[in-house]
Amino acid sequence: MNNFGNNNRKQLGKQFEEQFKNKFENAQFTPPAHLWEQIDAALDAKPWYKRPLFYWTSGLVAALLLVVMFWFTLVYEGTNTPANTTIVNTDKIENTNSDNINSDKSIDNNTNNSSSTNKGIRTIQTPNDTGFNAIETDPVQEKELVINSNTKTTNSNSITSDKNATYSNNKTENNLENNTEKQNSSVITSTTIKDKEKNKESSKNNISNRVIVDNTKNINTELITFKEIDWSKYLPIGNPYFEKEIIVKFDSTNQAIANNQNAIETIKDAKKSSGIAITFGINHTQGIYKPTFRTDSIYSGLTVIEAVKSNLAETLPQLSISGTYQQTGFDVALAFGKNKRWSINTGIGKGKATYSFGSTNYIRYVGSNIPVSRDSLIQLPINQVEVNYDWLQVPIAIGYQFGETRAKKFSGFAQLGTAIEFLSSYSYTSANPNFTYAIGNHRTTNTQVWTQAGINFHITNRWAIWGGGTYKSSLSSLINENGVTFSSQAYGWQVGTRFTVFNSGK
Amino acid sequence: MSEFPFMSNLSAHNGSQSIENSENQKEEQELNNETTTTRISYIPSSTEAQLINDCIKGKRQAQRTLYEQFAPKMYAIAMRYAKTTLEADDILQESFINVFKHIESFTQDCPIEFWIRKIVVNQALKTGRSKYDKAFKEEVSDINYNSEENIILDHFDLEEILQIIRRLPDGFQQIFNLYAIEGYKHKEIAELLGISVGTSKSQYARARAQLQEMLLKEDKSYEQLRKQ
Repeated sequence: MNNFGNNNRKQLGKQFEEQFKNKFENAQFTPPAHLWEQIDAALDAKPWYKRPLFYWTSGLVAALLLVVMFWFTLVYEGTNTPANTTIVNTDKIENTNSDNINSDKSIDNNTNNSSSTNKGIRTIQTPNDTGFNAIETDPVQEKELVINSNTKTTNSNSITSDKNATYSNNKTENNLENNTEKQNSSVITSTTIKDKEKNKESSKNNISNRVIVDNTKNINTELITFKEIDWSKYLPIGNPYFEKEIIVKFDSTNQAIANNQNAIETIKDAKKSSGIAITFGINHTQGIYKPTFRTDSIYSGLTVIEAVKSNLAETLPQLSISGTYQQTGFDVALAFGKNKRWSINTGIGKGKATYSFGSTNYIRYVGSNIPVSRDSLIQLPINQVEVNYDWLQVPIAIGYQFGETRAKKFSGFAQLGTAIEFLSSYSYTSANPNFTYAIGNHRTTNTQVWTQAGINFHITNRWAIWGGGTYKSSLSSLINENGVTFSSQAYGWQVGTRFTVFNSGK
Repeated sequence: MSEFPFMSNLSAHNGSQSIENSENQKEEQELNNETTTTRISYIPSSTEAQLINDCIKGKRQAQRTLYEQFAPKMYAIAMRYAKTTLEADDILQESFINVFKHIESFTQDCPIEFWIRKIVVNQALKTGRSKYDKAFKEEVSDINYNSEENIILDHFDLEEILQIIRRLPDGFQQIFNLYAIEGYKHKEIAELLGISVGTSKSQYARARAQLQEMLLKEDKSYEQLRKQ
């Protein structure tokens, strides 16, 4: 190895650096054979956004959002009207409401002529029933009837005086033509789209349901009240489609209750759609944190330093590592647009993720000197490693609110945007303190795709609680040192509360 | 500033006994002269050009050929910067992944070996950054060394020298490699490592002294062994 016979080792003038340079100029060492295989595999590895998991997850989230949104708009459309709609028999009105209703002979005639006259109320089958099949039912204390307020005002004697309601004093509505016995009745009935198709001549209005008060001269229409329908009887969650529908209400004696003002206000409310609102809230998230390590990167990143090393490079990417995460924060939203359905959402949240894994088949150098070759290595048992990651998150997202119930108790929402995570701390705990890992420095900022969807429950006009789900996926490598690249995904369940601090409209 | 110091300045350093003043003057002079240096354009051989083009196209066989051609030399470089063999493996692996991912950006104005070498050095520095960042922040006690003594490295084999270099503290190892072997200047090293020129010089002086001390100690122990 050394030339021990040479006594002239100390030579002044011989350049120190040049010797090193010459020594290493053409130095060559044969790299391990498996290295090329790992490079080969790394070159084949697709970036995170081209991996099937990302496609499937993104597609699933998008599909779920679509399903939820369409569920509110499409499914409920088919059940938009209560199963039974009532008509009022005028004889009852006549008999019981002489004070309020201008009864006259025609009403009596109506009563006598009507083959279906009874003591009280008639019920019409579902609005899809085009045959106008009236079925008698027992009187009830209170009856409701749907009016679609999209209809146009054609009569100055409109019950509500609202432009969107049609009440005809004429007996010319087609749906009554075939029911001559009811011609002079004060009948409130409903027609459906199918009816309308059948009766195109009279279907100038783009409505799905319509209320016709025939022979209104017999009824003091000003006394008929309008009332918001209690959709909870029919639907768990309503639809904005119904917002302009109102109901005519009669009391137990079939007396039209005069309260036009309520109806007008209701309709006006429905029209009040634009404006802005600002809400503040707090939220908490619990979920699953799932880091995905890449074969081509972990090798150099999560290595054991000092005199100990594991084969994490081979095992870690194959493991399905899953941890948990929690996040608590504040959120703020600016709602705008029609019915303030759209919103810009942001806030701040403090979160923490924890995941652990076992690094197996440790190998250790013998002695204090680190050898060049791997021959002098022995195996050690498994070691458990727990990684902790703390962050501050600032989301920026566009939100949409939908499916508001008529009673405005429930509504759905969905948000899509980015969440920027600012690193607070990133550390690991090794079960065996003798093992240390060079895990690299976590990125100080991490941009993620972020989405959430859920349901609001409005306790008051300004205060709501909500629950839902969230998903986020990192857009970039979480560690940018030592060649470490791994991405993360997080699925969470959220609860929160929101308070409207400013509302430009009702 | 030269893009590839180890190419254009292979014999830039005289390695004298740390006569820093004269060394500094020389370095400054070299840096000043760089602007007037005539650059010789490099024309790659047809074989090399073909190999590079195939690598750009992603042909795995060409990539493997390139790897097999340069991996041993690059592995030796990685070994100098790494503390362990496995760390050197990591450096080499990441370097070649970067080479193949970014080979289309190689302008072919120098031999591809120099380009790969630069990537390996950068990767090695990147890998050890956390360690030497910490080392540069720590106070290092002054080391007295005998400037009159010099060592003849011919009496040591490559692996022995490698082991001794690896025993240098974090930071010393990188700076010694960059300055003494790669031929970087202190100004370039300072930029690469994000430190001051003064730090680079002082760290190098200490590294050099420590290395001399270790080599002498090694040498003496062998002599004692031989006498026994």
